[in-house]
Amino acid sequence: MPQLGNKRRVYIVTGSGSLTYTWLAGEQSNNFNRTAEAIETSDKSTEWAQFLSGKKGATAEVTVYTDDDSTTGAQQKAALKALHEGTTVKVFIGVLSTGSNPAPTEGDLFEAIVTAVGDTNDNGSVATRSISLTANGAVIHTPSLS
Amino acid sequence: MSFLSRIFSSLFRRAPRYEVSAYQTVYAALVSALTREGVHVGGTAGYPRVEINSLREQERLDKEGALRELTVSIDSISNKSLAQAATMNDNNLRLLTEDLLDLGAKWTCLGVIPTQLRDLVETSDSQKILYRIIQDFSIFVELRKTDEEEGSGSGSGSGSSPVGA
Repeated sequence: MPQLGNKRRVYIVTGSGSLTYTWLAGEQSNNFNRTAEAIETSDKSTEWAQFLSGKKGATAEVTVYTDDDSTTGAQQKAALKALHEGTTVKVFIGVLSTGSNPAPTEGDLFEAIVTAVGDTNDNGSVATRSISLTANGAVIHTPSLS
Repeated sequence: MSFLSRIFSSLFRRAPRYEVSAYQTVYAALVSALTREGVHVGGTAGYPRVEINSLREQERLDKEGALRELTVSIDSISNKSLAQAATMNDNNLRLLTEDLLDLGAKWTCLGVIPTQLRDLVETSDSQKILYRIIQDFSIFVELRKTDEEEGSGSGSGSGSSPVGA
């Protein structure tokens, strides 16, 4: 069933075993791109190009309203910290179940490096921050693709 | 917090928050901020007069619906001169921008930004009867989180509860 974009959100995931998903507060928009390289295997047996699917990857970008408060902006701070320290963050982009123990119902879970954090401070607008992520390793899709 | 209230709050913490508009709160705050001696504010008769001509709540700025932009046109109307209307408008600007609007416990004002200004002189036959300065503003407000939501944001995943989703 089609869904509204405001339901598919970016969450910073913490913990191991029992994961905690915390919404990146102030989120305005996100985009998530999965890619697979095309390895050309063309030969003279056919005049059409042929390919094998190569290594896979994913990038994401999320735009939030800038919040440097230590509580309400904690998830933005986690992303900034990961960029400064060269560490990774675990991210989920999608929809969580409701209830006391939220779990992914649709979306993608992955570990990522933060490749850019850009602040935009326009006259007459609320300041925004764009965070760019590149997946480090496998992306786990929910519901399962198998 | 008692043991029982902790259990109740954890049970109901993720209940979706219902949608509310900022309109009523901002309108009341504007009337309150603009009220001063010697000027009629709102619908009361008489001149000089300040009117909230239109107040429009724009689409939600973030996915939770907590951050809002409202645009408002405020008329300063004089039956004496354009200069008097302009002076009233300057006072409106001061009253709305020198301090943040007090929006009470539910909303926080992030800022009031003056945008466009225009004048309008109303005439009857050949006689000028009303002088009007129309000033537009953008007002940015944020729905405050409750203590419970604020405290749980870092650990429980409750930051996922949608507003108006």
